[in-house]
Parts: sequence; C-alpha cells; structure tokens
Amino acid sequence: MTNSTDSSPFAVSHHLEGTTGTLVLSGELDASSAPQVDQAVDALVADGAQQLVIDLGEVTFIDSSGLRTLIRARKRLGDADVVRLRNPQVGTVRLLEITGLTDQFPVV
Amino acid sequence: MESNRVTLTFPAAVELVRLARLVASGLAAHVGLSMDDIEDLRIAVDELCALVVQHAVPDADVVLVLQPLDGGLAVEVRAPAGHNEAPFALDELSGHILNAAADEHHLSRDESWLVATLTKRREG
Repeated sequence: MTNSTDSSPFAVSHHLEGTTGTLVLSGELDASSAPQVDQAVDALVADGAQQLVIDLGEVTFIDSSGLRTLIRARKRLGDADVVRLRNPQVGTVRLLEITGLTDQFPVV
Repeated sequence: MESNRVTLTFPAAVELVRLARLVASGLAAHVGLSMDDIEDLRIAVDELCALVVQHAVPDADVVLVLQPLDGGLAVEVRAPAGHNEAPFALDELSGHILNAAADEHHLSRDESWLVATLTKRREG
C-alpha cells in the first residue's frame, strides 16, 4: 500500500511491508504539517504496522510540533524502540540532542 | 537603528507561521548572522509565533517585529489574546529549544494582549 499527500511545502508518503511501516517526509515539519504525519501513522498502525521507519532525509525544517508527532508515533506503538529514523539532517539531529530525545529515536 | 526595523503582520493561523520564519531568516542573513545563528533564529521565531498563534484570537493580526541590534536581532511577537484556557507558557520541549536557540526570551500576557520577545546575538 502506498499513499501520498502533496501539500506544499510538506509531503508525506507511506507504505507497509510485513509489519514494518515506512514514512517518507519532505519539506517543513511544523504545527501545520504534523497532523499529516499523525494521520499516516494512524493508517499504518491500523493496517498492522508494529514498527516504523521514518525517513527524514528531505525534511528541511522541524520544530517542537514535529518532535511531538514523532513522540506520538512512538507512544502509539507502545513506547518501545520500534520507531527508527532514517537520514535525519543536521537540524533534526541538533533538535533531538537539545531536547534530550536522541536515545528514544535510533537512527538506521 | 529604528529605520532598519522590519515588521510582518499575518493572520493567526498555524499554516502562516512559516512566513515569520522566512522573514526572520532573511533579515538575519541580511544583517550578517552566521548560518548557525540564522538556523537558531528561524526555529526560535517559529516556536514563539506558534505559541502566540495558539493563544491568539483566531485569524486576528499577529505582528512580528524584527529589530537589528549591534551584533544581533531583537524579536517581538504580539497578538490579541484569545480564550485559550491553557497557560501562555512554553512546554518542556519548546523551553529546551528556546533556551538553546535564543540568548533571552520572555512571555507576557494581560487581558488583551499576548507578547513574546527574544534576542539573538551573534556567536563569538
């Protein structure tokens, strides 16, 4: 299953392979765009995802609202280390460090 | 210098906060802040504007004022106060971010107005 939403300057696509859901985000992840990620996570979990890989390689900006959506995804899956990040950019890595969240989101 | 001040007015809507980020980072580059300082300012302005929008009268005018300083920028965000019952305060995540990205920040609220300020000084 693949789905995508184009809403400049942010887009999210997602697909499921077995029990691993993958989200590919691009653009600016803020209070305006975070609900799109929540909806994609909900859809993947409803379809049976038990772990998530979130590709942040094309995310050009992230703020506390973006971090909260990552935290919600983690809680949605039981607060275990089953949400992993791929290709986080410098700004994202710095924000995770500043907020003490680095250990909660392993990078693959 | 007063004449260097830049003001942006936009409706209190989360999808328009990116305009504030764009203006703040553009002016920061214009006054010669480093790339790291520009990124800091961009996220600090985002956090303050998002908070003000969340507590403002919906679609009321949010006013962002950017004042170049000798070696930095001063920022003020103000809007008419709405009826959000939540305290006009930073949560833990936003607090960590602003403490790291801004040199100073301050929030105030009275019956009519929300005001948020920050200062970003050039590193070094």
